[in-house]
Amino acid sequence: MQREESGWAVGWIAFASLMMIMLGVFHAIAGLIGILDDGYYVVGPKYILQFDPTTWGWIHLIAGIVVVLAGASLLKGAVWARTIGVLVALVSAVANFSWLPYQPIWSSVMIAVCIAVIWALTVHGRDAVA
Amino acid sequence: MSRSRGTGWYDFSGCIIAIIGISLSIDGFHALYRKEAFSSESLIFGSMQFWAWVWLIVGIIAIATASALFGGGGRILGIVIAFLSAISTLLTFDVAGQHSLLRLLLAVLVIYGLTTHAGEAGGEMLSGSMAPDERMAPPPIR
Repeated sequence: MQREESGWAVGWIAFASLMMIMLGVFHAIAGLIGILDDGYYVVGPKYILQFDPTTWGWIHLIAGIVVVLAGASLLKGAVWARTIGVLVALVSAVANFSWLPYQPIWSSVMIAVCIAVIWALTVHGRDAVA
Repeated sequence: MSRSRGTGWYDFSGCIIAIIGISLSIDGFHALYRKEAFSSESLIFGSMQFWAWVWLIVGIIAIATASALFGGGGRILGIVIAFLSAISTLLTFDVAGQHSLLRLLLAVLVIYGLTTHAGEAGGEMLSGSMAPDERMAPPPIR
């Protein structure tokens, strides 16, 4: 068990952290647009989670701040931040599913980033012997 | 080493199947309470009510499967549920297009993780395949 994994593992954690910070910034941008520009998001009047775009904006902005903070803690090497990182990415993916009618391409990209985070943290997170 | 690596794939597949399950359940509730939101005339067969229940039930089983996967079990159940969600998704593709496409891709990820990598943790066998650990292991000495 004395394989030299730590170099790689640090790389995977760094990858996950940066992906989370990027994901958080995406959330924040999507959120600020929703809050500041009321006419930007348009959707057919038939969606179950169809909140006012401003409400979605606040959801995104808060999610973005949480994700960036979790990503930054992960980058600093906090072990608990791995679990939080997986949870946050999962919640973000579900939120993006629900937000999909507003901005299909963005949501799809953000779901892909969420999956990259989950993958790096679950499959490779343990390689880093804390 | 390989043991923890394989466990990681269980966690990964669990997260992805949880995303599938939650989104399927939300869509199922949606279809139950607001059928008019879906263009049911483009259904291949069955009524919108029928598919709403299918989504809801598959979704709830998928969420339960996720918790089994986090506990390191339910590998075969996970593959079956991912398969079922992929099929139900394909049959309702015209009704829930973008969600269907995403769920299909996620189902493929789950099946990939559970077939190719989860075996690295040992545990449940898939028929005809062996976990790498077992393959490498020397014959047991009595």
